[in-house]
Amino acid sequence: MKRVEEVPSLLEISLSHQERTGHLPQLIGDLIARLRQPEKAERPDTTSANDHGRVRFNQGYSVPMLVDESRLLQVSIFDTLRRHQEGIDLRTMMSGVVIIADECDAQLKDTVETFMDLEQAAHHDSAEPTRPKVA
Amino acid sequence: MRVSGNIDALRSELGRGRRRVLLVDDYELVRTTMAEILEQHDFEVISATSVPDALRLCCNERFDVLLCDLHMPRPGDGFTVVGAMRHCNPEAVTIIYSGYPALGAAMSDVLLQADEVLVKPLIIPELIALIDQRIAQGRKSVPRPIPGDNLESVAVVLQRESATTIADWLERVKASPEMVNIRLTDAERTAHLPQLFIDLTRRLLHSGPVDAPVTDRVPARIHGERRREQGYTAAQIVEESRILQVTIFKTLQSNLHVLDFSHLLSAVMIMADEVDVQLKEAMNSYIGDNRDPARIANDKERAA
Repeated sequence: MKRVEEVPSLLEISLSHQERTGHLPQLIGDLIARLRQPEKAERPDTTSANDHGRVRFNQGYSVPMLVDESRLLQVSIFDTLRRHQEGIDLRTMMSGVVIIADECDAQLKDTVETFMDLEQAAHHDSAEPTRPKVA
Repeated sequence: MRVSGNIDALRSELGRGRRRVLLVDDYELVRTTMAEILEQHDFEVISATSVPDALRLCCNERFDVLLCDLHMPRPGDGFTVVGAMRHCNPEAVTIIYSGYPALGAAMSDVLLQADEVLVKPLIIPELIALIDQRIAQGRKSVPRPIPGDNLESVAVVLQRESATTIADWLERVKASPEMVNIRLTDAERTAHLPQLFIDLTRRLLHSGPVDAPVTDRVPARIHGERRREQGYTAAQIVEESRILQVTIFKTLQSNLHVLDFSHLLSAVMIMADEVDVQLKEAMNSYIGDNRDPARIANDKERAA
């Protein structure tokens, strides 16, 4: 949250703490599940990222803003690892880093996909889109 | 020609006479003039006009010497070619030249990983003597940024492995069912990556905080516009970026035996940040709805 609060373009959307971070417990849960899976296991199906795209669309986000939030999340996760690196086996850590980057970006892709579908639907709809616009 | 009784010596002599040079410069006049002069001095010269051409050549053919302009046309492009040459032809002598004296002096060997950095205009007899001397000495060992240690920084590994990482990325993208419906040449698919690797390496070598502002990322914005013209969806651009991050981290994973672990996680943070900053810039131009007209005109002018 601290990092998000330092990005002016993200603060253009006024949200409560809960609205801003509502998707994160599920995403971190998905990450932990992936990290506990055997290395070659398939990525489990989840619709939480698509749901997040729908929520952000209705909140008035843009795609670059979604990317920015995802960037800050990854940086924060890797910073957490860095601050606790004394307790981590660095030789096995890189496979964890690969999984974290893969899962964060895979969820970002699903979020963007849903977001763009909604954007297109709103564009083609004769009625005006009801979602708020970024100032 | 006088034939000696020793065939091996003759072969060796003939081989020495046809040392292969990869000459990389985007100016035709420079290429043709230098190629002509070098060929008069018994060099076999293969020319490349762009970074992708140079990367393809240096990874598929054997060379004794790389002669490369630093600006191809962007500042630091030569840096990518040197990295690829060092990976694929580790014995080759690598020489970078630049028309900017200040830049030539500022770029250290550690940054460039080249054997020599020359400032234009090149004096041909001195250049030939330098090549002869370097070949006779054998190329110098890879500079190690950590004195007294056999470990390498993430920047050095990433630079050395950039060509391999790009090739690996391309293979993964081509294997992705959702990417194959966009038909592109390999060069079109990978056009944005050499500059991205330069930006990444610069960020890693910069000692500032993770979120320190870096130079304007015009190439990333141009990449977003190109992808839109090529028919990509926004999700496909994110997918390519995901594959890139995974490929870069896998490159580090396979180089753990030489990596300096002390700054590894800071480097991971910087790389994740930079790849996503560039993705955001690409998205800004792909979506195109929040760019002011002056910025678009400025980008086009700079790209031209």
